[in-house]
Amino acid sequence: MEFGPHFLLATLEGALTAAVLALTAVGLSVVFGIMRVVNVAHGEFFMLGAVIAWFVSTTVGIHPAVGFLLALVVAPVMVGFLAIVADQLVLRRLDYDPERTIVATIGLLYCIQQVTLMTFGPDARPVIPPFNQRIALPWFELGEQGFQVTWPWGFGVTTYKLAVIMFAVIILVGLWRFLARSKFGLIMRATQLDREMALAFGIPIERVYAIVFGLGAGLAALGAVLIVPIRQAHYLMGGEPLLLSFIVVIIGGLGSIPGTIMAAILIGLSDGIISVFFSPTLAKIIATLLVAFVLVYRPQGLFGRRLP
Amino acid sequence: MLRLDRIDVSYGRVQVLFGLSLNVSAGEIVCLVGRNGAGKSTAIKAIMGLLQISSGSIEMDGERISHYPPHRIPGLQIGLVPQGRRLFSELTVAENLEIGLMVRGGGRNVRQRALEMFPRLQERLDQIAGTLSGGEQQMLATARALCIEPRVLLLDEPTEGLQPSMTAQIRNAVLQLKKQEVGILLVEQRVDAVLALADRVYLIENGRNLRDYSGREINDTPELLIKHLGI
Ligand SMILES: Nc1ncnc2c1ncn2[C@@H]1O[C@H](COP(=O)(O)OP(=O)(O)OP(=O)(O)O)[C@@H](O)[C@H]1O
Ligand SMILES: [Mg+2]
Repeated sequence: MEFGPHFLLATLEGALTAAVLALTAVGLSVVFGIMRVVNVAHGEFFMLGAVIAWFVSTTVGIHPAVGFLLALVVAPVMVGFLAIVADQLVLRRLDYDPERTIVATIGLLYCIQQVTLMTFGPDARPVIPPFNQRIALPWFELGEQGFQVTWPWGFGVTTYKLAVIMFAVIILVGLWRFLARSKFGLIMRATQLDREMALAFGIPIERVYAIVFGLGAGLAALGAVLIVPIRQAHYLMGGEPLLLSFIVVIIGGLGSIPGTIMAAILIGLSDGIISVFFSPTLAKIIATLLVAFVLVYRPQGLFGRRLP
Repeated sequence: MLRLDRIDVSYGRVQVLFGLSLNVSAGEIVCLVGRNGAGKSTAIKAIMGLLQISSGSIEMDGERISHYPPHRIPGLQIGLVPQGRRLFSELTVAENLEIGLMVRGGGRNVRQRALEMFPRLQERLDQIAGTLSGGEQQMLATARALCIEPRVLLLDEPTEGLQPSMTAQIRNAVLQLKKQEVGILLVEQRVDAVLALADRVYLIENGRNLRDYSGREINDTPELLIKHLGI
């Protein structure tokens, strides 16, 4: 394949990664921004989302598409609920202390991972996408006979991948509007800005925290359900989204949602493009180096505001 | 209406309030004065439930509220104008007021009444609170507290760092609230501000009640306060 079509394919792959990463990282970002909790178990909520999606779509044996659509709702809700239970049992008892909650969520990571290994097993399991037509894409070239349309071999996308990208965009726009316009969004933003004053104005911040932790976990699970028909469910799959989410949240500016989304697009696209042309390992190396540079030269993040 | 009965408060191991008592009735302006670090703000935070008391009690309308979770205190119509304003600085003026309105589900008319006291805010509803001038921020902090329709209003050094014209506006607002039978607990450093307003004055030192004065006493012999505050 020539460079042009090849590059476009890589960009599409990158957009897919970016879409799923944005959902997952925004989940991590709201939890950090509002609760000041660094949730090391975030990747495990992602993994649980994928595993539950596999379970739902294989046990509900009506039609793969129906099972998948059901999983799209059931997995985030179940994972969100589990996160709320973890919040009440663990984080609240620690009074949301930033340091102790790190240790606690590391513990949570291993608990979730091992329980999944014991029940779900060590195998990777596929989930059938609800639809998966292949669309061949045309390429335009300015040849000797003027403008030409060609159909390069192997140049195309699946409808499922396009749907994932669009779905993620819709969810993120919806979330943004929810935070900016709704009453609960206002409560969340006020809690983030000054938790003591939030209390002094009647906001039950512990309840807000529980919901935020559930929401963050649910977003990770949603990202996982979307990607699992492409990448398979496995009990160790939480590591990579956790690492990438941290990278994105740091580059985007801690706790800033627009920054997180911008950084997810940057990292997702470059990951896709570098993986296709060079290697996935190089993509991770570059992303990690970028984090190091951001931490040294722009600790407020590439897209975050400078701290006063 | 609001009553603190011999409360002790500590930060960790360091005790700051020692058996502090005071009360505020409806339509009364009560001033709490004392040097820096005397524990005035600590008393205010204890009322709001933001600090736990280790002994004594805090009552509102005869009901013990000192064991309530903090988020339930404003629902009892106890409003706070904290020291240093503490606005939700990245939210707009309107959003800051909205947070206050949510406490009791107050509607447009509640907001309107709060804004009437500070018309300057009316024109700035969509401005980010953090970009307001110091005086405007103090107005907003007060208006935000008025949005919970307080029966008791706690003002912690509302005139700190304000020029005289601003101070006068805040003072007018306080007097207006007094007419509406709101009980006011005013923490002040400036004796001149206290003089004109107070019905009663509590002087505290090192977290203890030192003396109580009537407004008359203070007006006749302001030296009593001036000497103690070391101004
Ligand atoms: N969060 C805290 N942790 C530990 N000690 C504190 C804390 N806040 C206040 N203190 C201490 O408690 C004492 C009383 O402080 P407080 O803020 O109540 O004083 P204040 O009378 O309001 O003073 P100012 O007039 O300067 O506002 C001070 O000695 C202060 O150092
Ligand atoms: Mg003070």
